[in-house]
Amino acid sequence: MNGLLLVVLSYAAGGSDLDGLRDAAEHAAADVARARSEGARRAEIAERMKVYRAAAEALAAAEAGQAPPDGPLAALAALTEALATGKRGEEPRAAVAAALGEPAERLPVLEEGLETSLALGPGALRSSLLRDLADQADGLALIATWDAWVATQEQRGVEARLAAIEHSAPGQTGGVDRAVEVQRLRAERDGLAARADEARALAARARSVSERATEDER
Amino acid sequence: MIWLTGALAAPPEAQVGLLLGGRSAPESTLQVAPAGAPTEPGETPASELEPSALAGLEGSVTLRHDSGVWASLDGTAWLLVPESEADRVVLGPAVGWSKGERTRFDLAGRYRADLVPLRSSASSGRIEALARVSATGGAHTVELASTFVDRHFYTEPAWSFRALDTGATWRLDADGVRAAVGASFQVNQGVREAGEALEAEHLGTQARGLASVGLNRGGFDVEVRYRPILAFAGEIEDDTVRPVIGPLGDYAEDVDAVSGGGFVQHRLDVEGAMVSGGWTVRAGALGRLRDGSGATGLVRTGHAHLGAERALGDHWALVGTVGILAAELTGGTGFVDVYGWGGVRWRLR
Repeated sequence: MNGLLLVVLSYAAGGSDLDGLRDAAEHAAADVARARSEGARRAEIAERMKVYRAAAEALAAAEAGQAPPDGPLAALAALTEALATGKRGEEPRAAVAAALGEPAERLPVLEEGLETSLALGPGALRSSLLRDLADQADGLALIATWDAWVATQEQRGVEARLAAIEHSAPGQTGGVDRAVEVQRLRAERDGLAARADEARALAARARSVSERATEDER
Repeated sequence: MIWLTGALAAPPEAQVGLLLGGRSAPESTLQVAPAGAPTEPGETPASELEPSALAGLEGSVTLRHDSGVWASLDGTAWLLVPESEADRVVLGPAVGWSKGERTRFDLAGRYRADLVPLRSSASSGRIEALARVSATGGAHTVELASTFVDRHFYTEPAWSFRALDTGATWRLDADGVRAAVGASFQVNQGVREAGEALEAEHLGTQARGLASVGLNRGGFDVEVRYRPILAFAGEIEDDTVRPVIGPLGDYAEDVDAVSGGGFVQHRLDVEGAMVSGGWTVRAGALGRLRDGSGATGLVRTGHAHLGAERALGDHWALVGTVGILAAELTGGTGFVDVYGWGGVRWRLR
């Protein structure tokens, strides 16, 4: 239902051209987040940020004169911006998840929906279902990319704390209490790395659903 | 051994490294005689400390199990030329168990064999045990911990001691900002020679405090700690200067363990690290000032170090460390030990 609402809002905002621009901004934002997570050089991040800014400005220009987006679309826009700039995005993430569902729970439904929709004969219903699926999958990909970015950031923080405690050679941790802290932080680091990997895998699955739905809808 | 048959919580972590460098006063990590004091066998007067080249081999392996049990072994071997009396092998097996999140229990034990082959009087073994329970609610954690240390010098038992420290700490960790305030009570007992025999020294006690603030943001971490010690009673030590910074550049907590007739000590630590794009940079500084009848040997100590590690792919890294230790001894003399080493490390994770 929420996904359909998204489609309706998207149509109300100007149709598929706006959708394309929104997709471009989301993909560019995810690209910036990925580069930042991988510790890319500043120049490289700035280059990708330029692409995102261009996409965001094109979207803003296309939306000019229209009612500003609200509800899930506004949350999607805010999450896209947070992803690109690396700023806080917990609230828009929660709003998008409230509209679309959590990626781990919702993706299997979309994947099943995609197979069912592809089995339908050509027609308006099939096209509109596929468009809806692609939009929802894009939103889920955005959430999962955000989750991966947050987990990676937290992992970097834990790694920095570990590096400060471990010093530069084995056995330099000081007292046994610090040896215990090292083990706790290592477990936390591994947990965050697993969480980031899981979120990246979900994002890839969501993008795959979106791409298949978009190709077939065309 | 039953736990080994279960699932490891993570693949074993291991590392091996080869380091080359130099040190301007490597014998300061053994035993230094202050000015005016008679030089005992095995002591080096502060004015006679000489530089050396060094080569080091380091390694460690850690296993963590789903049950919360972990075990680790780390070791380091240092060879120095020409001051080979300071050659050293350090081996440290450790085992621990941690369970729980909101209410967490930690038990851990560690043995550290510090072997100085050419100066056996400086060789020692150290047992350390920790029991801790902590409760977390939101950003706040309260913990109660007890730590026991028994250090025994194999051929020079007059340096041996044991200490039990029990205390409580409150910690705050919110949005990357952390703070801690704690207090503990420590009881210590040294060993002294009475003719041919050895006997336990008088009990010494210490009131210890902790106040710290830290910041963790975007791959950057820094922490500042202030740790005062108010020490009472205990037998007054001789003038031997026990090493305050170990061979690896770490602060030797044991130098503060014995009350030595009483003293007031202030210690300020700053340590930080930054992880970014394959680089890890670490830095730290420490200042320590001691006053009172137990202020034998070292009165003022300053230490700073800077280390960097550059990852080369998934397993290899280039590493380098530089550091400086300056110490003022009773009698007005002192020494400066500058060290630096670089090398390569292989890591399995």
